[in-house]
Amino acid sequence: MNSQFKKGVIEMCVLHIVAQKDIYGFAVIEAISKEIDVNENTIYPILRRLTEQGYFDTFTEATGIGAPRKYYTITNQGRLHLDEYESEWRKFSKGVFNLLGGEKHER
Amino acid sequence: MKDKYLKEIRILLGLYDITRAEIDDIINDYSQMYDDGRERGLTDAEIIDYLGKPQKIVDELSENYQLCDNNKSRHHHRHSNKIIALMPFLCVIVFFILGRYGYYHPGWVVFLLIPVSGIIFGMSGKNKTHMLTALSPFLVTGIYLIIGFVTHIWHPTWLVFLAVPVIAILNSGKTMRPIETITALSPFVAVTVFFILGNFGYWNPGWLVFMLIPMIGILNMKNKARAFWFEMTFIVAIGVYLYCGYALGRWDYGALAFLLPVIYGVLINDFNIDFFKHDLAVKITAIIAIAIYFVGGIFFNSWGYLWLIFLLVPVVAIIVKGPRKNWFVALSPFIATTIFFVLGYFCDLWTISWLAFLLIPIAGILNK
Repeated sequence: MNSQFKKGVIEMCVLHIVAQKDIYGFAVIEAISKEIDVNENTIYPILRRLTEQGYFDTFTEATGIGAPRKYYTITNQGRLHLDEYESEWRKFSKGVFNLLGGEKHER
Repeated sequence: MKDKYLKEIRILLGLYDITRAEIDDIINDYSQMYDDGRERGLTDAEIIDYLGKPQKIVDELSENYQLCDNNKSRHHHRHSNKIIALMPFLCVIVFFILGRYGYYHPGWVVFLLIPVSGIIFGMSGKNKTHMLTALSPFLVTGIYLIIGFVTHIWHPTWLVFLAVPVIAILNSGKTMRPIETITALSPFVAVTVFFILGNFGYWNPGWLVFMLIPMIGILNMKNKARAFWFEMTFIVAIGVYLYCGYALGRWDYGALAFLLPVIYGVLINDFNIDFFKHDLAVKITAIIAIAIYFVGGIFFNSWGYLWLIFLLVPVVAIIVKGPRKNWFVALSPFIATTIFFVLGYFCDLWTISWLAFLLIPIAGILNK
């Protein structure tokens, strides 16, 4: 798969995961790599970029052992961005699905 | 493994226009994620698979930073290029105007403005510390010429040239640990102190300051007990050398005491300074250099100049490990130092031998 395309999709997934609940970096990576092969991509640069763009805020929380963890939480701007992303994605994937004859197969 | 992984990321990030605070933040984040991976019982290899290889991470992180800078400076570059292109003509005009009033010398100094303007305008919008590193040879040359013309004390004013590598090392401090910075600076401190002591007639035992270099290098060793005993062998050797020299008048016998740290180093096989780590060629060069230095010193009293032989060690390391296309640039400081010292020491040409240092920026420019 084209790596730019894959990166865009993963970015949407990262937004979606953080939108579900406040979460720390490694847990995001774990959640994504359960479903998608992310060997060629690195999640953290995406997390960092989305934070710099104002889609995420961060806060730290004590872990009991070791240094406090950095948590990511989605901002209003991030939610709007995710909504746009998801609606575009649904439209796009529906189109691809139709082109590949998905509906005919379903019938 | 974690330290190595984080260190590699830090070093690679240091190559880009990223502030130290941002680098620290990124490293902290990776450190936390690494710990999270360990908490889940993953092996180091599995954690790195999850987090990504350092080069890949930095490639992706730096994409954003560089894109930002390029956008900002694209418009500015057009004007800068015009100034850079005009500068040689402006310098020629200024030079002839000064010459008409009898100032051809030192009016020629205006030609230094050509590379200086190239650096200032060519690097504008980029990291200011890198600009200072690039400008330092010209600033230092200016200082050297001013002091030289005014006071005619060319030697040891040339010592200001040591500021060039020192500035470069200090500016790269964000990618180095404090002890690594001190280790990198130690040769320049040693050379400066050596020449100051030499000027007061203390060439011997003034050369002992060069012992600072391995002694500081040893502080990088992980095994602290070994480092302690290694340091002790140097202290004992220096003590014996001074005792033999001052009390018995036999500096040559005293010099043999330095075999003690050499033998200890070989026995523990732990010359843990970076370039001693892997290559047999470098190790052999170091041992041969030490042997030649002491044999030459004892039999031909060549303590004052034969230290140049130690430059062979980094030279061999560069040839063995460095990328071939960068050889000339990487070797130029050592070639320049050798030409400079040989001309100055043997031909008493200190007043012009400093020109050899211009080889360093010339090599850099040619390589581009």
